[in-house]
Amino acid sequence: VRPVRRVLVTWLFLGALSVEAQSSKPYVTPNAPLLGSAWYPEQWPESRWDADLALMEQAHMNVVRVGEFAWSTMEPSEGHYDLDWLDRVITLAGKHHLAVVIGTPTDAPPAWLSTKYPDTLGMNADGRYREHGGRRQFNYASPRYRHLCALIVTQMARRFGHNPNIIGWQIGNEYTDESFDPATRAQFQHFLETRYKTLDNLNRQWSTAYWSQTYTAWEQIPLVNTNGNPGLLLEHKHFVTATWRSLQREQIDILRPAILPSQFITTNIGGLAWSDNWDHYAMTADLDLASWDDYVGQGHLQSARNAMLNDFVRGWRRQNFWVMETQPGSVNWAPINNALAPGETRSLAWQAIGHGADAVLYWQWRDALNGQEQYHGAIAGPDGKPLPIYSEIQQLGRDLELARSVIADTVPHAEIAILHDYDSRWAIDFQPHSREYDQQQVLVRFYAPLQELAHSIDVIQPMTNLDGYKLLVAPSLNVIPQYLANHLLAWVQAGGHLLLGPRSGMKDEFNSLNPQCQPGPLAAPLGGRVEQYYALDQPVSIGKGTADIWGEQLSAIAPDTTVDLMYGAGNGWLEGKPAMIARVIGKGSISYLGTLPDEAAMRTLLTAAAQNAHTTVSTDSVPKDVELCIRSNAARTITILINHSSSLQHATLEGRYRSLFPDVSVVSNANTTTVQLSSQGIAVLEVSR
Amino acid sequence: MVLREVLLQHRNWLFAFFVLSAMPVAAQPAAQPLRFGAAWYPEQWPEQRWDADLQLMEDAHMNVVRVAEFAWSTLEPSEGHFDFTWLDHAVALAAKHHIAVVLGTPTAAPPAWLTSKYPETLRVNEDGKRAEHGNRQHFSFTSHQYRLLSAKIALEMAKHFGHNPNVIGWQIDNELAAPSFDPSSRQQFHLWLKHRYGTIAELNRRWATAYWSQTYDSFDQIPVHSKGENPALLLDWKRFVTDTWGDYVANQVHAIRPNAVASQFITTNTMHWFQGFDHYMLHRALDLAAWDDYYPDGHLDPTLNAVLHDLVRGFKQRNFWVMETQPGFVNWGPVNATLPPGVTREMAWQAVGHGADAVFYWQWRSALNGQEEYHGSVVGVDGTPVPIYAEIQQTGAEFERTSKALAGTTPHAVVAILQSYDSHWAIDFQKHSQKFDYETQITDIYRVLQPLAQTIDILSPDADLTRYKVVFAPALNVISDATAKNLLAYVQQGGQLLLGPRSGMKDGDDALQPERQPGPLAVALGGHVAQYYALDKPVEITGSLGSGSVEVWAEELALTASDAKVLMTYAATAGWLANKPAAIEHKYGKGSITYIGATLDSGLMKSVVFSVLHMAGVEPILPGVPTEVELMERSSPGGAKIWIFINHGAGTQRVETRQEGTELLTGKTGQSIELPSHGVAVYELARRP
Repeated sequence: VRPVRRVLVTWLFLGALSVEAQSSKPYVTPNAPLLGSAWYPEQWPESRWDADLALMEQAHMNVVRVGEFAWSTMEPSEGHYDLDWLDRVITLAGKHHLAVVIGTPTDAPPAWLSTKYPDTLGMNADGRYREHGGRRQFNYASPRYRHLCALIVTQMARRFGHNPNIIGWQIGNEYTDESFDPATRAQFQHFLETRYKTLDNLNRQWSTAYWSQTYTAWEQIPLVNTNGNPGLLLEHKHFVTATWRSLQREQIDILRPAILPSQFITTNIGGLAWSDNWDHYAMTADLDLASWDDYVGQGHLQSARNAMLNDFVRGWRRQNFWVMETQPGSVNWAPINNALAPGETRSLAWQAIGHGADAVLYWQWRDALNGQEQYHGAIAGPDGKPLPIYSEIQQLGRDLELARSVIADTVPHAEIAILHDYDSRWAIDFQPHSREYDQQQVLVRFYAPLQELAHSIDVIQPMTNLDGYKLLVAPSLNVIPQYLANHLLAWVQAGGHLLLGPRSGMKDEFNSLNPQCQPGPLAAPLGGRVEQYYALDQPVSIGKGTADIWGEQLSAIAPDTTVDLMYGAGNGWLEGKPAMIARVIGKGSISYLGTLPDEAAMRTLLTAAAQNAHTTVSTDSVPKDVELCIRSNAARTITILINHSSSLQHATLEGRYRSLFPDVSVVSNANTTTVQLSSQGIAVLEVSR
Repeated sequence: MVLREVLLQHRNWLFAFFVLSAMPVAAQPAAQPLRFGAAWYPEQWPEQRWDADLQLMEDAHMNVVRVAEFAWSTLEPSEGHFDFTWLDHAVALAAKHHIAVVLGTPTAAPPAWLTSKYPETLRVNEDGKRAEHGNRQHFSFTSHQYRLLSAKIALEMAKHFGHNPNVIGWQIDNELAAPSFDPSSRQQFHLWLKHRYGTIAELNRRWATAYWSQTYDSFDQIPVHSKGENPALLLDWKRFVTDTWGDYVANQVHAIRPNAVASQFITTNTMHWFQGFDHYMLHRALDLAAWDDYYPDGHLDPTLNAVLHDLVRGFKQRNFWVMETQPGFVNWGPVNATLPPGVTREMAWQAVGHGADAVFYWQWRSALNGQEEYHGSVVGVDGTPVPIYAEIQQTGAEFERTSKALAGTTPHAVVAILQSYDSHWAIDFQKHSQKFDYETQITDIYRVLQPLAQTIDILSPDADLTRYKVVFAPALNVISDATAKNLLAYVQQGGQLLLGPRSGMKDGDDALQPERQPGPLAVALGGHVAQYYALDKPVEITGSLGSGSVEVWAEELALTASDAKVLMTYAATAGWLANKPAAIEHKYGKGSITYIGATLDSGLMKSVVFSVLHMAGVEPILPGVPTEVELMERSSPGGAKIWIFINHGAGTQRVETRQEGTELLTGKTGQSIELPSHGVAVYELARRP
């Protein structure tokens, strides 16, 4: 292979920060929700394959994912491709009524590649080059590595792009590690030059007079991911996003012209969806479908958190999504890899479906006899026979056979959205100020009561079309540049109600402090501002409740800005000061909440916010441990009830429903339906006609 | 001429630290007013903003500002091109607002052009990674080139501002900290060792290198490490670092002193217990000690803070400055909670009580970008006061009101605690029990001693001790021949020396003292340590001073002189220690030595300290002060005495002064003072007729 000097500029900068979707038509999963698993036939003798596929079929699975780490089998030596075995795999899967998702193997380059082309190896932030023996040893910014990827992907696309049993493609696997090598550093500097044009501009936006950081040449700018100037750290995240996105884009550009239009292109996003290595909105914008890997790890399913994560994933493309991996009972990477309790694996799957998943795939079918993940949960044991979890997954398969015809082509709909934004995520995580300020927990503190109120919540990024929402809640919208303020204000003027949470509006798009005081460019419209923020090491009282972790002293400056909540005792600086202020603007309003109220206080506050925004409030009577999810389309509305507890529960719904599962008891009278849910029980209901 | 000297100095690097003691120093300053101010970075802001900042400072009764310490890239935008115009303007504008200036040399933040052109000036971490531009303190402290460039900027600044009447002093660099492990450091460490030991045979003997075949054939074989090595090497590394930093500072002192008027002091700002170098040695080249007083968790520990002030006062055995302290909160702790209302003022007054003649806040206003955006400041992002401003303003007004009375006064103590860097290091290299903490040993004694003696000096064991009635030496692990001579002379002339556990184990090379503990003091003590034990549970102890328990550390003592006295004995249940002496005392010359071989509980410690003070005739300055209230006395020869009272407790306290005087903050006379929580009184005693 000749070293490839692609023009980096095109792939790095063209729309790297734009999240406009490349494909406008939403992908609709045929025959959804699908059920399947990841399977690695290359790890087993071919004589075994049929038995595996037969067991999958018996579990009512209808999809299987293959190929994603099989580079050394597909291309055993440079330029010598062997894809025949994969052809046989796909054909055999088809015989067992299993559709195939095929992975490009570029997350795991073969040893010959790393040996022959050591310049394709990535460098960790500590200055050490990675090496063969794990996975992800490659340098994501290396033109040579990308060229080698292009060659194998081209072969695969030619061979399988028109295979009718392939429904989609997965690029790589859980994009994770960036690189800090000198070549990548030069690319970063070039990226900055393109973005800032002049060093004067960069020096100004980064306030580099501070600590004499002043740059007099682009080559002086370091590539670091910790302890740097906040402006630099934020740009590094933008660069990482652009670099991964271009790596992905290169494979999309090979695949898309060569494969059937019906075949989707996705990538499975790891880090429990929440990892902030790069911007998930930007990365999924180029895909047909978002998919993620939903793992509990240690402990048990935290329903609100996992519900939020599913909604978060749905928000990346504002479409239904896939769970490309989830645990059959347990994982191998947590401190204590306990198994989910009986029924929880099924609940997790139904929760994902309730929030818009159109497929659930387990990782993995069977553990390789050697390799780093021998202890991971599997469906078939080392002897190839079903493990105890098999029957629970088989039950899920039966569930789906009963429900599939009505669930397919339905999606969740919400009037309330929580705003999530990567610049804000990053800006706070670079400078948390309090280690207690965990942004996921903060988000869930807002999400959980909203979910109880409205059942369906969207989690979306703010620079998107906001029409249709009545209430937007922004828990920690730290970065509010002028353009975002304008966008939000236009929506508010037209009748939207915006509730900003603590830490909002502190920074601009360069991670520089907004000089107007928080919430920056929204301070003037709000008619109030943050006088001072405080990290709290003990709770303070607010109204009838308490708040903790973070407290901002607010002030209402405009005469028509109201003080909706005051701090009581607990912190001498905050006592008697406003904790929440609000102002009517146009047909809508902006509220600012400067602290994190406890559960009850938050519920009260968000209930009032929802009422104020005239959102539809559910009148169903659902116990606390039972989750209610709704998917609908123009033709029908499907209600999914999940009992997250291990005790018998009853839910009473407005209207008359029929159960899709024969073993779930439903009693209807004139206007209501009572559903009995056993321990970890699931009900899928359709309105009776 | 000076620069030529500097060049010469670098031709023979070792020359420098021999001349430290002969270095020119500023004349002992005449009684100065109390200074009150902030760190201000005009280079980060447009010049038209400066006047507003200085006006706000003046309104807060500030009379000093520290500038330029990180402004190298603005002062010397490219090599050899200096721009002092802006700083001239800043200094002149400050003068208009009656604000004096302390100028920092900017060498903690080399500009990008410097490190790109001279990459050898970059610091190398112990893991071999070279630091890079984008942070601060990324220079190598042994780099010749860096010394030249920093001498040059210091010289140019001194030539320009050395006679400016509004510049009252100089701060060299900022928080000297990280050593470098680059080839130049290695070479100079070897030179340093060669100078210390003369021959490799001598080094081998004193380091006992036959152990593990560590024997060196030549100096250049000696590794450069700060941990995991031969204890002698580790201690010598610390001393080498100390000498190198001393020389680093001297390099700039040499540039400034001949070009500055004698009234301009030269200092550097150090960090509390920081163990990177011996602060007594470092301050030999400086006129004034200054330190940075921070409580990242927002909880003032008044005893610890008192210890640290007294420690810093001991660096030069004269009043000191607090060069930085937090306006409420910092940005670098796990939870950066703020000091409660009143505590920022309380800290300022405690500093003054312990001998501070200046208190500066860090910082005036946060840069809009840069690593410390979240640090507490006096004005906010918009340039208007944040809530803490009012408290600082009040403190400033109080400083102004009391400045005249306090000018020229200082604390005077008759008891001292010895604090030894060698001992601290030697114990930390080989803790033997993770619970044994040198700093706790010092603060535990201090905590007990403070209410009884009220003024305490903390000193190097090599300081002149003749003025002290009692000297405490907890954990004086390393006793060099010179230290032994100093201590023995003190006792012979009538001093009371109280040694704590682990004392006298090592000699000046961190080698075991062959006489057993306390080494060269064993004969004078008339006893020694028969064996030491790390304790995993408490042991009972009894004696004429009461009963109690000891934990962490216990030593079995043995008498060798017939007139030595056992003060305390371990209980019969104490295993190896059963019925053995735990504390012994022996008259020596006109004084006595007491050795306490265990870490006593606070009750027992109190009895011991009380008894020793009583025997030595040490009385509290004012008896009957409530426990929560700290009394600090400052006085000047022939002047009035000032008592500063601070209520560190949560409730209101009343103090009876028993002597005529005036409370200067309120102007009230009368001998009964009521102090609210965090309250301060500055009580000037009426002069006796």
